[in-house]
Amino acid sequence: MTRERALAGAAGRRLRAPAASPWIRLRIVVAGVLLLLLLAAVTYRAYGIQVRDGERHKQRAEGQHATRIEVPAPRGVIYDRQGVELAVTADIDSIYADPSRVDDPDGTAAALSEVLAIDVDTVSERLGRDNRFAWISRHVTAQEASEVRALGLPGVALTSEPRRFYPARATTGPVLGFSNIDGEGLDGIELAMDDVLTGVRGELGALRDARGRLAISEPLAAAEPGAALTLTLDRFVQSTTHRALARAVEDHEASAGTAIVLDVETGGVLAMASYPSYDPNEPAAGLAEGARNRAITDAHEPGSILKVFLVAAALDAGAARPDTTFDLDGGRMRIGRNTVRDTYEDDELDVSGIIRRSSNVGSVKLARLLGAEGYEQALRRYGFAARTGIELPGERAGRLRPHGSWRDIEFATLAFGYGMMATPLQLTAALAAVGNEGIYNPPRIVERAVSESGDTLFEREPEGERVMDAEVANAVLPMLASVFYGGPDGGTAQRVHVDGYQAGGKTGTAVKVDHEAGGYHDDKYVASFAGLAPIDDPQLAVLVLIDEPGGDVYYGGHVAGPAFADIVSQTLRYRGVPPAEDADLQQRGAGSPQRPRAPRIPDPRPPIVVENPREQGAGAEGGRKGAGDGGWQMRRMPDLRGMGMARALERAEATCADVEVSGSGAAERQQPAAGTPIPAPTRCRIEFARRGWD
Amino acid sequence: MKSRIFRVQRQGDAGTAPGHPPDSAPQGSPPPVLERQTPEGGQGDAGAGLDLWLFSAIVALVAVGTVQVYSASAGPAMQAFGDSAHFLKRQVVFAVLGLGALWLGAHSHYRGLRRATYPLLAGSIALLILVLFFGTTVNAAQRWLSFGPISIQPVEVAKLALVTYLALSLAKKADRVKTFTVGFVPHLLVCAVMMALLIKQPDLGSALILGATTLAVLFIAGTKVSYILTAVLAAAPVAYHFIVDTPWRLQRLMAYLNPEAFSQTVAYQIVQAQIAIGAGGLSGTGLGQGRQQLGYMPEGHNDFIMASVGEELGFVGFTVVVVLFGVLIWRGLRAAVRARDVFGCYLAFGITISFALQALVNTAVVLGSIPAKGITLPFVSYGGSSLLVSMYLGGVLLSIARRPPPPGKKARPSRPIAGGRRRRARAVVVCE
Repeated sequence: MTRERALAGAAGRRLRAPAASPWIRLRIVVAGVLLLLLLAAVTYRAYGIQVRDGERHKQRAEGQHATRIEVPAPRGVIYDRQGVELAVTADIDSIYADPSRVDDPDGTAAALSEVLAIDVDTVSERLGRDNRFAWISRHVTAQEASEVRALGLPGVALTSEPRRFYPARATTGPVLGFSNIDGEGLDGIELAMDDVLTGVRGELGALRDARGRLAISEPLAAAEPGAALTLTLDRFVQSTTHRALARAVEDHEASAGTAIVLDVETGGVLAMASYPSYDPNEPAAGLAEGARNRAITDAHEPGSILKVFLVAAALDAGAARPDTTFDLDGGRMRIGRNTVRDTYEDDELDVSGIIRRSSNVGSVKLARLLGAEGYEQALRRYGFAARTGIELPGERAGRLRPHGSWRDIEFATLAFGYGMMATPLQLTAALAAVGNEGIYNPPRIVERAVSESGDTLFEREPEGERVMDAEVANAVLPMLASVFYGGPDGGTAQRVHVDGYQAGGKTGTAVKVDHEAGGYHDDKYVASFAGLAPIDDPQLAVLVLIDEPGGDVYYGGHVAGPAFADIVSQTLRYRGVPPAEDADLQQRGAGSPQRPRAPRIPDPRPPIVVENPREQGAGAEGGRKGAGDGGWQMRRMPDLRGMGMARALERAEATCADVEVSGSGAAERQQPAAGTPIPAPTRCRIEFARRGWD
Repeated sequence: MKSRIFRVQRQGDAGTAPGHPPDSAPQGSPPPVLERQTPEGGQGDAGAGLDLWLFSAIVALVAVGTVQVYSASAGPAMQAFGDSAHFLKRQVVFAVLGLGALWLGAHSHYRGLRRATYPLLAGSIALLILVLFFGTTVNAAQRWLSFGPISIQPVEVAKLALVTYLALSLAKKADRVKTFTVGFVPHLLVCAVMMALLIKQPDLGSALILGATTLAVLFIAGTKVSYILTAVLAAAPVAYHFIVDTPWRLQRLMAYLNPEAFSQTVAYQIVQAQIAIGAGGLSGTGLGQGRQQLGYMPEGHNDFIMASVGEELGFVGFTVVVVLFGVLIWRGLRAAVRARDVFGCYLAFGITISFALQALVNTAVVLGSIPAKGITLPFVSYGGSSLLVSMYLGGVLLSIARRPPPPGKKARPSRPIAGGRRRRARAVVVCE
């Protein structure tokens, strides 16, 4: 201050100087420097955020407002061979929320639950997720969608999603399979051809405002619709087959069944039905009942149907002629401690008679003429013990041990279809080869796939292969026809009447293996009927298999025969094949046209009298051990958890003799546990459970 | 009134047409004639009537603000009013009115404020009281007084009044500034009354700005630093009480300390501001290309306009705005240093420091460097009364800046304010 005072008396020049004293000026400068330093600090801080950490913030910003919207590609349509739609896709609304933008979770949940008829707690739980996205309800009705839209709840929005519809419903069931709500094929054709059907998802770049509404969007990639698929399936034949099968299963109180119709000339599948089935629009209930495509996922001991192929193999190898006769000793034959017995007490039959009367003893004798090696090779040639390669998921290969390991009794039982496993499709395809002059066509179900732009992505090509001499095949046909002959010497299917057409076929009645007790059940059968029609120029190969018919009637001819007859006559009529004039005559038997139809059916008897059940059981076990092309090697149980049903079954094939399936969705529990050493094919349990989706 | 007429004539004499837009006042043209007569007046560009640096900085800030207000508010305005230019139109109107206020401030002699000081002080305190009873509540704070379509923020008037009062009072008290009872307590009391009323709104941020401005002005006026420190220390427990005992203030503090933990709640704004600024990078996303205004950045055109600047104009744009404030501070303080009288000196300093403090607090909040405070950015943020008062104060600053060192004997007697001469003389003598 003193200094200032000293300055106060300065001259006019001082007076004209700024009013502020140097002291004040100093303080102002100090304040100014301080402020500028602070501004510099602010700038430095901005540098840190914008330049040094800019990239991080940029990503964060993008994360919250830039969004890529996947545009689901419309799934390809599936047509039957006539162009009838079996699976179509339509857009339908779904409701989702961005929980972080919901202002009033309780109110929102209450409003949504009222409109959508969903439990409030469920909605609250979804809204409470620490996520930017939560489905509230997918595939809602138009009414629900418009009501939700009218509510205008912040954070809640609608989007349209493609939904799959299956007009044929349960008729096409597991063959067609189904796709889930996200458009992923989960079963049947939908799974097997998923890549072709899916198309390429489109992408939309979009900005999302703070309330989750989309502001600007630009297409990044257009969605490419999936290819259209044409199947060899015929919806009419399929529905005929489905109905006939369902009736047979229900009439006979059976647990399950399957029926297949193959186009003999091409190997194309005209129909493939399973019972129980499911409605692909809502597959859960059917899946819970164990619905699956049993034509390929189940392998059974084929039983007597295999005699057709034994005969074909023997004739083809020159081991016997059609007129070769066999002394049957009243239909009993001792092999070791076992006795093989026939249903009918015939003393002498020719080769045709073995088929007609389904003689086990005769089959054993014929097989011995052929020899084990020839028999095994022929069976493999006919497609047994190998997957047919049909475009369907979960196909099993069946089993046939190499002949080197066959013991006497095993060779004998193999002659009439025990000790090996075959899928219904394998049997049908092999039979079709007989109807196709000895040319085997691997069964196929996909005719062609055509992309949206019209390019043919896939076209079925004939891949036929001669597996037996044409003469042999033609010689077997009348034998198959004779099964329908009536009279005391008539065939096993004499009560089966194919309306208007001449058919040929073979009955099969196989006792089921008892996996728990070992050996065979004494009251569980697989009744089947496989045949060709019309027999003079076969067009169809049809197999009907009924699993565990209840009640007293379990013979293939009785249980599966009528369904077979239904399918054949309706399908042939539908295909415009003129009915045969002498059909009824032939039905009664060409050799004895006047003979009335047999009024009496012999009492069914088990094909094998088991005198030493333990040995018989061991024999059967041994038969199953001979899996695939080599001896059984010690395997470990694969980890099936998380897999879809078809995949799980496929993986389980290698180690499981039989798979018991429950639930649907992804495999959740399995028995035996993953990694368990499996010394021999065993019975497995897989429990499936649905996760995630509503 | 008389004085104003006289001044206009004087300026007319000086060659500048009355009402001539200040921005076109040519440098070195007639107005400095008087100034050029004095040797000191000739020291550099200050000889010009208009401080072009200061003027340009203000106009540039207003321009950047108007553009950014539009960019940041277009989305929300579209949603709220169906007109994306809703806020832009208003801001443009206020900017034009603001230019008028600037012209008024620059062309009327700042000494005119002396007479208006006490009415202004009384009026502003009255407004601060009124707003507590009749104010419009926005975001849980009662800060606006609505007169029909116009709403004003009394705090802006209070800022003007306080700065003027401090300058006048300190200039009058001269050497007694250093005394506790006369030089320190009264100013602090006035300030405390205003702060108390502001806190009641509640508007702690503005209260702190006013308090800091007061202390800063007292500091340069010569108040003992020990008094100032004592005041700060005494205020600290009070501030602590206000923060800790008010749940949302405490939350804001917690949010400041750990923004990510509260990113969806109290810290939402801060986190979003950082995301916006950070996303701008070096050069920004481009005007109108900011994405944060898609509803992510609340108050994006208002308190958080710097977030929008940072996002769209990048670090470059952010720095330009900071530099413009730097220029404002530099020229403002220069005007204070060179002011012809102590009143002008204190007034210029007070105005400058209040701008500077607001700018610093605002940018620091936006950058997450200090806890969130509802402080607008002068000249840039959207807001009518804020822009008008700021531009008027900017005009006053220009007016002080255009008063060069004493224009000479001829000019001095011409000062019409009665008593002004005497007081000024005394102040000059004492100060020197």
